[in-house]
Amino acid sequence: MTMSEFFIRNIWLIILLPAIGAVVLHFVGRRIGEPIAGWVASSMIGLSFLIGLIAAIPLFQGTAEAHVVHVFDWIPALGASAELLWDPLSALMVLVVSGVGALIHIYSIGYMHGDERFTRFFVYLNLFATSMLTLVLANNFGVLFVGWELVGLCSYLLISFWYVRPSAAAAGKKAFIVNRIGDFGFLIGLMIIFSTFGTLSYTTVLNDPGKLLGAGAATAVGLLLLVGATGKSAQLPLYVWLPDAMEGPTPVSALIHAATMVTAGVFMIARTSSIYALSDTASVVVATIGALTAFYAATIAMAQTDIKRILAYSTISQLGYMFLGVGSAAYVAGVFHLMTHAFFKALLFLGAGAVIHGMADEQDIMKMGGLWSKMKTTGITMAVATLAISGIPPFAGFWSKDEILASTFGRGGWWVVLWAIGLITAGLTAFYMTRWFVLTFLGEPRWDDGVHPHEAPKVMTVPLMVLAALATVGGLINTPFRAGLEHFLEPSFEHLTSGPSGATVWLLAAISVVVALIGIVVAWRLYSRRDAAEEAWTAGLPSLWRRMGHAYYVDDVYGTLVVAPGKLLAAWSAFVLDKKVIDGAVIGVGTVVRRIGAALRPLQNGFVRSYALSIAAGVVGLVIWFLATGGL
Amino acid sequence: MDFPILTVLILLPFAAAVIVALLPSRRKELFLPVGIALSLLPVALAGYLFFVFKTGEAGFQFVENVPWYSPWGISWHLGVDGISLLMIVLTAILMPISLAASTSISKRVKQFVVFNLLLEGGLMGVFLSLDMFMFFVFFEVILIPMYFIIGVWGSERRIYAAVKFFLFTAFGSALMLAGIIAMALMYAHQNGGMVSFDYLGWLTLQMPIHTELWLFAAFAIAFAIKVPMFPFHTWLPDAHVEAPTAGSVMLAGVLLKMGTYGLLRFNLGLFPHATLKFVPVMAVLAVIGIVYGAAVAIVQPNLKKLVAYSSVSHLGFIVLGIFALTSQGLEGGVVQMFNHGITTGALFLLVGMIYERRHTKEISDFGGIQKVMPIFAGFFLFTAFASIGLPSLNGFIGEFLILMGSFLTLKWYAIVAASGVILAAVYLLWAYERVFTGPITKPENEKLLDLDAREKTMLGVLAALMLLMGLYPKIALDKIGPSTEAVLDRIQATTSYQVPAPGRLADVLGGIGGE
Amino acid sequence: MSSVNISYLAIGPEILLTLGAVIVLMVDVFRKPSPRVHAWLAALTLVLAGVAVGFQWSSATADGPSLSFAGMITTDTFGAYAGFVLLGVAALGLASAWRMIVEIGRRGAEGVVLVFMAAAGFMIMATSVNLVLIFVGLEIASMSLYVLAGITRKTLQADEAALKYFLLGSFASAVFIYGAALTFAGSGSLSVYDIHQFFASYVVLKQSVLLVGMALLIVGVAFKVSAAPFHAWAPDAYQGSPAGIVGFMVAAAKVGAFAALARILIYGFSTFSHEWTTGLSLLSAISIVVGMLLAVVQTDIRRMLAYSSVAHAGFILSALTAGGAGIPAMWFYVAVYAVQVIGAFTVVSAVAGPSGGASPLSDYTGLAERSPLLAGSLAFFMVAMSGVPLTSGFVAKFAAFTSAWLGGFEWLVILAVLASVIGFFFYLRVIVLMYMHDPVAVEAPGATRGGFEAVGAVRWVLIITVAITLVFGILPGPLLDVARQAFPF
Repeated sequence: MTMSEFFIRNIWLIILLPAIGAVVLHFVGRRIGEPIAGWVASSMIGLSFLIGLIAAIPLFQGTAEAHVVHVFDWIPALGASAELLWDPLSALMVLVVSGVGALIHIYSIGYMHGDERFTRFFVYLNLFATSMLTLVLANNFGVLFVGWELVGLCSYLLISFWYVRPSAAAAGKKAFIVNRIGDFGFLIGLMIIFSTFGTLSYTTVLNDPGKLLGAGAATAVGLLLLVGATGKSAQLPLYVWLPDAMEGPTPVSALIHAATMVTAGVFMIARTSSIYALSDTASVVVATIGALTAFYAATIAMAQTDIKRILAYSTISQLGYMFLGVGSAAYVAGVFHLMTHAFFKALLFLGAGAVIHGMADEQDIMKMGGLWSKMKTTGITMAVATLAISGIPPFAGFWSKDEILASTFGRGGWWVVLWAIGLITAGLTAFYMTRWFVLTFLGEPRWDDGVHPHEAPKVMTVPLMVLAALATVGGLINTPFRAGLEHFLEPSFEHLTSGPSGATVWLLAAISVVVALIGIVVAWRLYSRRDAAEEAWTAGLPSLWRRMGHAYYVDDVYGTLVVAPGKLLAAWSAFVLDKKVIDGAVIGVGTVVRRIGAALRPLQNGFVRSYALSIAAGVVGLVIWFLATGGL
Repeated sequence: MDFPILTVLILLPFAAAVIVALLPSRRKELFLPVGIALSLLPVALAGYLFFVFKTGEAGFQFVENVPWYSPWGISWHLGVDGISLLMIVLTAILMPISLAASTSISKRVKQFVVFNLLLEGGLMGVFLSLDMFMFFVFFEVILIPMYFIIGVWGSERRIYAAVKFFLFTAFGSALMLAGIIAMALMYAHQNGGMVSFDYLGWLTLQMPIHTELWLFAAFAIAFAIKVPMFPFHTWLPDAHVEAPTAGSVMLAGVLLKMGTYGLLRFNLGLFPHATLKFVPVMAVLAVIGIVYGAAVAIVQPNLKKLVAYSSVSHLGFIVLGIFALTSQGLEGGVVQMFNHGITTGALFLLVGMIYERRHTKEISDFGGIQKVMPIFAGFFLFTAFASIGLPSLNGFIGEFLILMGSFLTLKWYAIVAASGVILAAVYLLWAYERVFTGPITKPENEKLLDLDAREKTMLGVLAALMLLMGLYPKIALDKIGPSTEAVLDRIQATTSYQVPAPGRLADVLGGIGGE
Repeated sequence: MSSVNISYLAIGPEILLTLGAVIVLMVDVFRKPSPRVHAWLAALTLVLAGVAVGFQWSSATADGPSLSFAGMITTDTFGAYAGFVLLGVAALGLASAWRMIVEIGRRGAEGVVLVFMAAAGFMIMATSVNLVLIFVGLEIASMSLYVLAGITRKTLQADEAALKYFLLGSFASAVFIYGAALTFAGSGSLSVYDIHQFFASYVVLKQSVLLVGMALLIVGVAFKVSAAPFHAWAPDAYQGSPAGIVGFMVAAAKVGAFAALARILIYGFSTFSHEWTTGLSLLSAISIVVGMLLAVVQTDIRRMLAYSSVAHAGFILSALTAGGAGIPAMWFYVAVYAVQVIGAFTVVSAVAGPSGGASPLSDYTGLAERSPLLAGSLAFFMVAMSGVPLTSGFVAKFAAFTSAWLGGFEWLVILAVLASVIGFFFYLRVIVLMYMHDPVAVEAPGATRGGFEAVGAVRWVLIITVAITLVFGILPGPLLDVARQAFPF
C-alpha cells in the first residue's frame, strides 16, 4: 500500500498531530519554554500539512475517489459516529488550513516573543488547528458541529488571550455568544436533518437529499444552516463580533479571523451544496446576504483608522463575496476565493502585525506613514497583498473575485443586481485598501515621538514572503484558460453553475478591473498628497463619514434593542417574579398556617368553663351528626 | 445465591457511618480521612458493577429479593438496570470527592462525616430499590442527613434553607405516600387481597384513566419538587447557597436526580396512559425551566446561586428529554443526569474552593483573579464549557441527544429549549469575565493561593470524566439504551402511542411550513 | 353466661398490681425504707403482673377468649396485649419518673402506688366487656392520674393543672356514664356482648337512643385520649404536671381508652359501624388539624407535645375508621407512640428538672453541645413522631393510613399526610434549636435547672425507648404480628 493510501486510511492523523502538540505543550510546555515550544507546535501542524499533501496526491491525479474513514462510534443513537471524509473539498481545506496555519505558527514565534504566556499561546493555536481540521474533515454533521464549536472556543480563548485587558475579555465573550446565536439556528437545522434522515452522516444526508427532504424543509434547513454560517463567518446581521475580535494577538486575527475559521460558514454551505440545490430561496438569501454584507462592510472599512479594524471589515466584506459565490451555486468560485483570500488576507494581517510590532504597538494609521523605507520587505509584500485584494490581474484576488462576479452575472435577473453590488464593492475595496497602504507606508511619517520603526525578524518576514508569493501566483490554478481547481473540485459538488463563457467573461473581467483601478487611483490621489488630510475631502459628507467611522452605531443599536431589555427582563424575573411572586406564594402558605394556629390559640384560655363548653359543643355536634346520618 | 453486591452497596456506607461514629471522639484528625477511605470502597464496588453489568440487556440485573414483612408484601427487592447503573456510579464517585472537599469543616466533624455516609447509603437505596415501600423509605430518609448537613454546617441563613428544603420535599413525598398506599391496596384488590409493593408487580396493574391521572400527579409532584421543576424550584437556590460545599455537591450532583429518576422509572413506568396525557404539561414546565432558570442565572450576583439556577435550566433539559418519549430523548435524559452531576458537582467544588480562600461568593468581590490563580481559572473555564454544552465535553452529549430526540415529538418545545444553549453561554462566560479577567481590582485578591494537590486531584478526576464522557460516551450509552428502549416498548405495548422513528418525512414538515 | 364463674387469671394482673401497691404503702409506712427498696418492690410487682398477663395471652391463644365474673371480664389476646403495653408503660414511666419520686421523698411511695393503680384501672378498661365496669376502671385510672398530676404539690401551676384535669375529667366521666345509661335504655343491657346479641336478634326501629348513647360513650373515651374537641385539658395538664410522669399519663390513658373504644364500637355497635366510622373520621380529622395547627404556635415544649399527642390521637382514630381491620394498626401505633412519648418526656424532665414546671423551648437551644445523649434521643423522638421512615413512627402512620384508605376514607388519608407536613415544621424546630443554634449562655435559665445530665434510670429509659423506636422502625414484623393476633372478636 502506497504512502498516500496509508495516510488516506488513517486521515485522522492530520487531526491527531496538532492535538498531541496541544496536550504535550499544555503539560510540559512551561519546561520546554520559548522558543522551542513554538517550534514544536509549528512542526506538528507542519506535519499535518505534509500528510495532507501526500494524501491529496491521488486526488490531484484524479486516480482516487472520495474516501470515508470510520474512526469510532460516538453517539450511535444519532448516527453520529466519528467518521472523516477525504475528498477534494476537504483536501483543499486541509491544505489551506494547515499550510497557512503552519506559516502563522512560525510567524507567531517571533510575534509572541517575550510574552509570559508564550507556550499557552501555542497550546491554543494547536488546539485551534485540531478543531479546524476536524471541522473540514468531518463526514458527519455531529463531528462538523464538534469542530464548529471548538474553533469557537479557540477563538474565545485567543481573542481574550490578554485577559487582563477588559476589552479583550469582553470581545472574546462577545464572539462566543454571538456565534452561539448562530448555532441556535444551526442546531434547529440539524434537528430537522436528523428527524428527516434519522442520521447525521453526510453519506446518507448529502447524497441526493431530495429523496426525503421536501422543498419546504430544504428551504428551512438551508436558511437555518445559513443562520449558523452568518454567525461563524461574520455576515449580516451577526458580524458584530469580528471587529472586536481584533483585540486578540495579530497572528490570531490572521489565522482565525481572516484565513480559516471565519470561512467555516462558506465551507459548510459548499459542503451542503446538495441541500441548497433543492431550494432556490435559500440560495438567493445566501447570495443576497453575501452581497449586502460585502458592500456594507466595505463602506465601513473606508472610514476606519485602526490598521487592523480596516482589515477586519475588509474580511467581512470579502466573506460576503464568498457567500455571494456559494449562494449563486458557483461553489468552486466561492471556495477558490476562500483560498486566495486566505493567502492575501493572512498576509495583510501578518504585515499589519509586523508594522504594529515595529511601531511599538501603534495601530492608528493616521500616526504612521513613510514606513516604506524602514520596512522594505513588509512594504513590498503589503503592496502585493493590496493589489491582490483589489483585484488587479494577475494577482490571486482578481481571478477568484472575478469568477464569482461573472457567475453571478451569468444567472441573470435579480442576480445582476447582486453582481452590480459586488462590482461597486470591488471599487470600494480597491479604495480603502489603497488608503490603508498609502497611509501606512507612503507619505510623510506621522509617528509619535520615541517610535523607531524597524523591520521584523526573519522568522516573521519569511512567512510574509511565502504568502506574498502565494498571493501572487495562487490565482493561476483556476483561470478561464485552465480551470484546474474547477476540475479538481468537480467530484465534491453536483449541479455546479458554470459562469458565462467567451466574450462575456472578458468583458466582465475588463469592467471589474477598470472599477478596481478607479478605486485605486481615487484613493491614491486623495491620500498620497503631502498634506494627506482626510477632513479635507470628507468635509462634504461629514455625518455619513462619521456614521461609517462608527460602523453605523450598530453595536449601540443591538445594545439598546437586545442586550439592555434582555438584562432587564432577566433581572425582573429574578428579583420580582422569582423572589416575590413564586417564593412569596410558598412563604405565604407557611404564614397562613401560623396565622390559623395563632387564631385558634385564644380558645386555649385556661378557663375550665370554656373547656367544658368545647366538650359540650363536641357532644352536641357528634350527637347531631349521628342522628343526621343514622336517621331517627 | 451469589455475592449480594447491591445489598453490600447499600449497607457499606451505613456500615462506614457506624465505624466513623465509633471512632474515639478525641481523635478528631481521624474522622475525615477514615470517612474518605471508607467511601472509596463503594467507588470500587460501583466500578466493578459497571464493568460486570451486562451491556445490551434491558432488564434488571443482580436482582435480590428477600421478604421484609410478608403480610404487607414488603420485600428487600433490589435490582440495577441501565437507568440506575449510572446513578450508582455517580453517587459513589461524588461522595469521597465531596468529603475531600470538606477539610475546612471544623465543628462536629464526626457527625458531618457520619451524615454524609448515611446520605450515600440512602441514595444507593433509592436507586436500587424495586420495592416501592423501600423506595419511599430511602427517598424520605435521605432528607434527614441532608437537613442536618445544610442546617448545621451551612452558612448564615442555613436554618431557613434547611427547613425550607425539608418542608418542600416532605410535602411532595406526603402526596406520593398516599399514592403508594392507594397502589398497594389496588394491587391487593386485583390480586386476591395480597398486598404488594413490588414495582414489577405494580406494572401489571389495570386502572381507569382518571385514577391513573391522579396517581401520576401524586408521584409527579413529589418528583417535580425534587428535580426541581418550575415553579417548585425556589427551595433550591436557598439550599445551595447555604449548604456547605459537600452538601451542594451531593444535592446538585445526586439528590436532584432522584426526581428525574423517579419520573422516568415510576411515572413513565407505572402510568403510561397518564404520561401521554401529561406530556404537554411536563414539556411546558420543562421548557419554562430551561429558559427561565438560565435567564435568572444571568443576573445572579452570587456565584453559587448562579450555579444553582443553572441546575434548574439543565434539569429542565432532562425532563424534556424524558417526556419527549423517544429513544434519543430518554437516552439523552439519563446520560445527562450523570453528566450534570459531574459538571455541576465540579462547579460547586470550584465555588467552594474560592469561598474557602475569600469567604465570599459575591461575584463583585472578585475580578482578574486568573492572574493569581491560573490553574483554578483553567479548571473553572473547562467545567464551565462542559456545562455550556461544548461538543467533545460531556454536557453536550446529553443536551444534543435530548434536543434531537425531543424534536421528533415536541417540535416547538425543542426549538425553544435550544435557545438555552445561548443563555448558558451568556451566564457562565459573563460570570467568568467578571470573576477572572481584567486587572485585579481588590487588594484582598492579590495574595490568593492557587490550587493545591488535593484540590487538583479532585477536579482532575471530574475533568477526566467530562472529557471521557464527551469523547466516548458510548461506554455509557450502550448500557443505557436497552433499558430506556424497554420503557418505551412498555408504553407502546400498553397504549396506542407510537415512538416516532426519525427518517420519515411526515415527522418533519408539520411545524416547519413545508409544502 | 349468667353463672358467676370466678377466674383469678382474668384479673390476675390487676390483683398483683393492687397487692404491689398495698405492700409498697405498708413498707413505706412501717419501715421508711430507702427509695431503692421501693424500686425493687415495684420491679417485682411489674414482673409478676407481666407473667400473669403472659398466662392470659397463652390461654387466650390456646383456647380462645373466655368470659368470667358473670360475663363482665373477658380474657383475650386483646386485653392481654393492652396489659403488656400498660405494664411496659408503667415500668418505663416509673423509671423515667424515678428522680422525681426520690426527690419528693416521703410521698415518693405514693407515686409508685398511683402509677400501679392507674395501670390496673386501665387494664380493667381493656379487659372488661361491661359498660359499668369499664366506667369503674376509667374512674380508678382517672383518679390516680388526677393525683399524679398534682403529686409534687410544689407549684401552684401543678395544683391548678390537677384541679382542671379533675373537673373536666369528671365531666367527661359523667358523659360516659350517661351514654352507658342510654345504651342500657335502648338495648336493655350493659354488656357489650349482649348489645351485640341484641342487634343481631332484633331489628331496631328507634335507633336514636342507641345512637345518642353511642355518641356519649365515644365522647367519654375520646376525652381520655385527648382527641379534639375534647382535648382542651391536655396542654394545661401536661404543662403543670411533673415532667417525669407526664409521659406515663399520656401513654397509659391512650392504651386503656383506645382499648375500650375499640371493644365497645367494633363489637358492641358493629351494626352502627357506618355511623361511628364516619364519626371517628370526623374526630380524627379535627384532632389532626387542630393538634398540628396549634402545636406550630407553641413556645413550651410540653404544650407542643400535648398538641402533638392530640394529633396522634387523631392518627390512631383514623386507623379505627377501618373498623376491625384497623385494630392491628391501632395497637401498633398505640404501643410505639407510648414508647416515644415517654422517651420524649424523659428528656423534658431531664432538662426541666424532674418535678419542674414550664419547659420553654428556649431551654433547648444548643442542647446538642451540652448533652449529646439528651439532644440526640429527643431529636430521634421528634423524627419518629413526625413519621420519618426507619422509625416506628413511620410504620405506625403508614399502617394507620393504609387502614383508613381501606376503610374508604381517602380524604382523611390525604388530609393526614398533608397535616404531617405541618408536623415536620414544629418537630424539626426542636432539632433546629438543639443542633443548629449555638448553646445559650450558662446563666440562662435552661442551664441552671435540670442540669442536663442523663444519669441512672433516665439514661436507660432513653436507650431502651430509642432502641425500641428504631428496631420497630426497621423490623416492625414481630410487633405487627402480635398486634394482628390481638384482635379476637
